[in-house]
Amino acid sequence: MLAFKRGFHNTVNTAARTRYTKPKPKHVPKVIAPPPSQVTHHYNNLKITAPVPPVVQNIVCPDDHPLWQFFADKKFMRSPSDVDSTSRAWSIPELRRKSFDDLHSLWYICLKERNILARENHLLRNIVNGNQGTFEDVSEKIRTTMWRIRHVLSERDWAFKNAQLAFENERANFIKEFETDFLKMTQEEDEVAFESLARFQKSIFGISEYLDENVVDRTFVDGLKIVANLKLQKFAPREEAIRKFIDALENNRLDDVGEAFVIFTAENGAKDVKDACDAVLDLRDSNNKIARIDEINTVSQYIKSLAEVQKQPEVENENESQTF
Amino acid sequence: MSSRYEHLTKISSRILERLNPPKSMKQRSEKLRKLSLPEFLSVGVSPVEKSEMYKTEKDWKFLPGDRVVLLKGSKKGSICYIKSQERSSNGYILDDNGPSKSVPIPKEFWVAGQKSHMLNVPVPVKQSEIKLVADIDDPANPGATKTVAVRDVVFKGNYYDENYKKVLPYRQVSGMPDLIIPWPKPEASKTNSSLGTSPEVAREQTFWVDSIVKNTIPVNAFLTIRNPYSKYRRGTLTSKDIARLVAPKMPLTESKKEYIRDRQKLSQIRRPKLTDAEKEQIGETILKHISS
Repeated sequence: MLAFKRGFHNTVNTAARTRYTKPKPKHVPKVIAPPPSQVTHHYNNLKITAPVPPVVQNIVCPDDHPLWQFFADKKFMRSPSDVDSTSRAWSIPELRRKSFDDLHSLWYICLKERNILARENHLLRNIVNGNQGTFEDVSEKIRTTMWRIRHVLSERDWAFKNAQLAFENERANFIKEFETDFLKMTQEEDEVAFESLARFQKSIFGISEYLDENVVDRTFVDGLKIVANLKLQKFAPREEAIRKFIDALENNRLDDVGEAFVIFTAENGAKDVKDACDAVLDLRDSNNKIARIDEINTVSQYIKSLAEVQKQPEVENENESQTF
Repeated sequence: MSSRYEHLTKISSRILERLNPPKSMKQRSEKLRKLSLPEFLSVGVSPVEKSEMYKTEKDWKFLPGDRVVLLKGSKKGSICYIKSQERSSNGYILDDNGPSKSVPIPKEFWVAGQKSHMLNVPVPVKQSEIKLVADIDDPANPGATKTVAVRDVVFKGNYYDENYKKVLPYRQVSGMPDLIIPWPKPEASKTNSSLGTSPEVAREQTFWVDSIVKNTIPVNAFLTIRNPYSKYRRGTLTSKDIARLVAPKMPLTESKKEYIRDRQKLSQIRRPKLTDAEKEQIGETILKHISS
């Protein structure tokens, strides 16, 4: 601690300058101009040109200027007779029939129209000093459509979630019922049967015919196995080799996902499925069984590689490049 | 007081509503408003309160296209058609036979084809200044009609009007319920429907449920479909919330702990069980005591 004591007045004597010292020159701050971070061709070629005269002809607005979206027919303001005042808002039952993409587009069309109307209404109020509610009325109708779109989508989502919950109890029964119906169909009805199989796999397991749409999860993998087994059972009565293949399986069911995938991707024909069975038997010799924990990763890799193959039509992969 | 941005935001209008002049000052503020607006901008009729504005057809009584007779002013007695309604002042704008004023207009506000600074601008008239004109059957000359001014109209019952595409009330002559004056047909220009969708496109079904696994609505859309912070949303309590809401268990005091320990010790003590010999001995002692 400093001993803070009051002393005598001797500061003046001690601090007095006894000899002349030359004052230092004033500090001039160094100017460090940073080099330009980016050197463009403009940097070297800057030339002074004649000023552009401010004439109306020099002001050109491109036709595709984004702000044109706030104008209807490139008009400053529409007259009330040009505004559509007779159309009504979309009703909820009408919107319920439309897909998400349709509703999405409709939403943006509404939004753009409301922007145009808001601009015109603002001009009407402030520049023309009008009090008519033409623009506001139309805008209000469009607003009604917009909240109805949101309502319909929300309702659709709740319906989907409730259906999902309710279906959990029905699921096993439904699959069993389909299996019996599918296997009952005769050879002549093959086309119908496999079409219904495609719908079945999409609706219950989310297995789409378009590869890149698919999201591989537990449901997908389980579905894959069920569909592969169904295919085997369908062609077993027609081909001796397939029946033998099934008999050799544990519980007469194919359980390895790799093997199931080979059967699953095979074309819907007795010969193709038989070839797939042979391929499975060949693969079995290399003994690469897939553990349950790796199933999802493996299948997603398979799907990915299959999608890549599909993208290159020039590569000759006849067996693999088919859709399922 | 009014803001020029009321139609865009309600924030400023709410503040301005509070700044509304008291009733005693209304007249003065009205006068100031009239002075501050140039003649060509002023409507000519003072605006009414928002609560007093006409809303339904029953309030308006006359729609654009109706024939009316003027009761007041220099053009008193002339029959004109209603061209439009002036909402802010509850007024009707009439055709060329109606009242108008000549106002000077600065050049920047000239309309196409205007040659003079002075322009005739229609002045809105109030509901009390006009009466409806209608053609009714003339009982004196059967088969012919006569034009009359209706003292007042009343409304009874509803019907769907095909021209207006909405439900409208029947307009009757006051005191003569069987004399109905139909609403005027809206102008032909009203049929323009640039925003409308054709019925075929509107009815076309594009939504099909084809999977129970995949939702047709993308996840990212939900933030705009529903408000996750809505005050009407009933939330579910997480374990974290429950931990925050439920009071922790109070620690036991030293004396309570001592008491619990004592009770445990007591419960551990074994009660001696009476053997048959001991019971025999007790019985004998009691018998001896009674008999002595």
